[in-house]
Amino acid sequence: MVFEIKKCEGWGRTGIAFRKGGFITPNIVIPRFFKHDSHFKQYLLRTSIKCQESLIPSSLRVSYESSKTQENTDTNLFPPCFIYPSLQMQGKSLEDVTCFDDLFPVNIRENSGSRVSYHLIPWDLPTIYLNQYDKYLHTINKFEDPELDNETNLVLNLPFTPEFLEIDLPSLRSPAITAVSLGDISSLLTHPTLLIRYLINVKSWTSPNIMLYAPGVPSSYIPILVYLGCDLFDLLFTEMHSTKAIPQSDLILEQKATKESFLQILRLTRKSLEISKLRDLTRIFANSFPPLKALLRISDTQIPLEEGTPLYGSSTLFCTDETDFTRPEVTRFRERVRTRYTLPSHIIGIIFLPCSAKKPYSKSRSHMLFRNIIRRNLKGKRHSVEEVILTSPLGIVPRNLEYSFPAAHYDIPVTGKWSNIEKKHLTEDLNDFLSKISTSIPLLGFVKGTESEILRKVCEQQNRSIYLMTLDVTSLTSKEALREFSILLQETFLNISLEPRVPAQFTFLRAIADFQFGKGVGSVLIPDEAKIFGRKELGLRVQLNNKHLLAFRPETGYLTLSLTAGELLLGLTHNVVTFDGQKIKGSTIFSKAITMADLEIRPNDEVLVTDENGELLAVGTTHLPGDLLVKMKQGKGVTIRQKVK
Amino acid sequence: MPQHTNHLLASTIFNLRQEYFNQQNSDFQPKLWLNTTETKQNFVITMVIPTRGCSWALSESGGCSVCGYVNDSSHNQPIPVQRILKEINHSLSHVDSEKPIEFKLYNSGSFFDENDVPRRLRLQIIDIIRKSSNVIQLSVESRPEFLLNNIDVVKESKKMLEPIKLEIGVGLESSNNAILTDCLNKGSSIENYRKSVQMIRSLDIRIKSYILIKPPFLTERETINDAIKTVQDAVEIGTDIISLNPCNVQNGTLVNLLQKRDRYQPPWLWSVLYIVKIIRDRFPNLKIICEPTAAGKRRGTHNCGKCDKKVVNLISKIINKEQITNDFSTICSCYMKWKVLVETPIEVFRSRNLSKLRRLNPLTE
Repeated sequence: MVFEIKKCEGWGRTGIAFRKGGFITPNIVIPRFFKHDSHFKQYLLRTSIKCQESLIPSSLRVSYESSKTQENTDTNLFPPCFIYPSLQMQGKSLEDVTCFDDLFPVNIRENSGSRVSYHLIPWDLPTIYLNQYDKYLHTINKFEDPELDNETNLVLNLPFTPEFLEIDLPSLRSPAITAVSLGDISSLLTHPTLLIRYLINVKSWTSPNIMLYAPGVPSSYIPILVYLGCDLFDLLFTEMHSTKAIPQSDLILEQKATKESFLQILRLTRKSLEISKLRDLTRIFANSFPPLKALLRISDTQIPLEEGTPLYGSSTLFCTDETDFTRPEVTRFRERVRTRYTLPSHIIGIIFLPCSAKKPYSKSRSHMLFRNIIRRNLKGKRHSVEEVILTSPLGIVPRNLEYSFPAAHYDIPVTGKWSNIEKKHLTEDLNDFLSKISTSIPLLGFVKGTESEILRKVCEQQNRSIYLMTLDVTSLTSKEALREFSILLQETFLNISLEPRVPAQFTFLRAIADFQFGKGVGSVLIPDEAKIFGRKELGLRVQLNNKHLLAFRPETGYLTLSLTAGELLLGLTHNVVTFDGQKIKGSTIFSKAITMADLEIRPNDEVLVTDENGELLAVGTTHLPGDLLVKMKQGKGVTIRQKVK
Repeated sequence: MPQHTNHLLASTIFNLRQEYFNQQNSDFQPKLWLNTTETKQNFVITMVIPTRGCSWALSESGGCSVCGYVNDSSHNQPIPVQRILKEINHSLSHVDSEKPIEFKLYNSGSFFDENDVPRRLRLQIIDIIRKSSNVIQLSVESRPEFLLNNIDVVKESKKMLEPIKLEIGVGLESSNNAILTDCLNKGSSIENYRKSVQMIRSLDIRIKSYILIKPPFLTERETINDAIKTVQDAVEIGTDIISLNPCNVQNGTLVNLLQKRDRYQPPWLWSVLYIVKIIRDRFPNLKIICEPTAAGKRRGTHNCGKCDKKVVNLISKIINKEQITNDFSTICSCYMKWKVLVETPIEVFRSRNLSKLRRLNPLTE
């Protein structure tokens, strides 16, 4: 059995189970008893009378008779998940069970009649009900793997109980288990805190190779549960609500819970995962139902979703409500500006500017006007002055990082009013930024309204002086405002001297290199003797000694490396993956061959591939976060850009 | 003694039981329970007497996971022998009916266990009953091992009672040993049951088999299957009467603890109805008893609360071979809920919301 991840976002992943004629995940699995449900009554009558001739062990006579169930005709759906009678019904105790075949009697299994199938491990045991999960898992871990063909898969149930969260469980070892079902998850839907803790615990005990199956959840929960790591769902919810006796729950989007509505939402979820927009989809669904919203709100603080979030992906990043202020992309940007951005040494003045609707900022009309004024007033000195843009929710964006995802991709609803959380974030970021800057550097704030207020407050706190635009104007691009800007510029930077000029493109690329690979990388990666070709907005190419070094891609705002650059970076950056071999063939490294990878690696990161001795073999782009690169047994890991010949 | 117990289950039950015993007041009075009914042919006296208590429940294995009858027994206090004898005498002398008397004397344990019912008391009881003129049958209960080990006692009692008939109730609960061990902690097995039934039948004593509906750790669907299979096995082995007992939750038991944690629910009345209907169809001449204790209450077998009485009536109608409707969905809307429960694997992925499924929602009903 094979499960490989194609794309991930947060804890969510889309991938393929089974290599041949695979099934896409996330998907819907059909749980079923061995005998079709509608025959329940007749079969009870029939099987109990003529049981002697049956091949099924006598203990199973009445309970369940296997029968040829029809092959699942809907090829979009997952193969059926067969539900085995509990061990007691099979006439066994947990102590008597010594191998998987005891759990799944072979004669039943062979009669399942389905080519590909999942089999739920019987779990309704006193051991579990009396909170001895560990004993149960130890028993399962002890088993030798059964001789299963590639198409029979075992599913283990790890049902939720409040005590379950407290127990320290051994992690699942058996590779025969390809999925874990989250029993009782449907009763946790309105208890977001418990649900999150349950998911965290299950995740920590199971390898990422194992798919998570969430039985009985309504379709509106699919996007967020996928985002939080679930892969399989079922239609039990619709079955339960197909009868009029059980009223549909009050979920707005669950007006008609049908198979079609489930499939529709599933397709939508997969699609958005592919284009890295799953987070946006979860927000859309969350906004319609309070418990879902609560789930989304707390998931950012409880789960390290950032690890699985691609470095760049979608072409836009919309932040429309308060949950988006803490979404992984935003948090990561703020964090990296805080830890990886340093003011270049030649900078002796800072101008704070407001953000613009058009991205990157420098292409907007307002910023073009501002830069014009700056050029006219500061002349040559302008290269020693850093422009910093104040914005929400990213906080502060230095001019040199304005291309880097998501700075050039985000959009927010602009009303002129800042919420408290936005104010708080900007204050935090500014505080941190200013505290690292020498007090001798003059500051100028050409902002108005909230930004101006925050800037003043922070400077007051830090006992710094700042020149602020105090004129009450409706627009910062009005003539009076720009005139005031000129005066302020003259005033603020009157005393700074003309420094020797550092070419702007070097500063720009080094800032991005620091931001992408870690503090201090920039000056090593792009030495002064490098040659830069091209224009920022169309992409830059950097050569060193007539050899291609790296390129800047304006659409993502990040650098792509060559082997030469890799050699320079070796030992400096965390983005290193260890390959299990001496020579790379082909253009892809599969995660199976990766023995080590740094946990700092994020999907779409540029990585260096080394052998076990640390010799550079290649450079490339990852598909998975570092953690998964090591743990996954199947699927693409790194796409090679250039390798040692 | 049993060959096999689940130690986890046994120790949990033992601790629960000790906890409950310790909570019981020191001025606790063993309960004596008496009830009389009149059927077409007989006058029935049912009496539950507080003897020492079931040896199995008082043992270190803790007893059965669903049974709390030992709570009302005497335990370490002296058995109120005089009170018991007086009550038996009193009840027999106050029968104001000409009909023959069926005397059901239950001690929530084993009548033939010397530790539970001392020999002297047993002989005294039998003596009183023998002397009363109208009694035609005495019903008692016992665990199978006391029938097997103390067969002489049984023979002696039978002989003393002649010509009054003797009926012994034996708790079979389930014919699946794994359920007996891992769900019920019954401490007995189907083999024991088989041996004791064969032995007792050879003595011309009638056997009544108690069958439990819904042990803990089984789904509603599984419990239906198990109950039907158990009845069939019991009939094959040779029981005379089947008594179906839907589980009711009693104090100090494991099911009580599980129910508090929302991990156990008593069976639906629909399940009981279904089981009874299938058995009635299959064994038209079998004598079936099904008088659910605490039916309609939360601790007993129940449906939505609206249709409970109706369904209990239906059950007794089926037992009496009266014709009833086949379309249960017209009786109450909760029938469809139950149908979903047993026909889909919802309960396999145990949801704590399942207990809510039964309750009526005032906004939608």
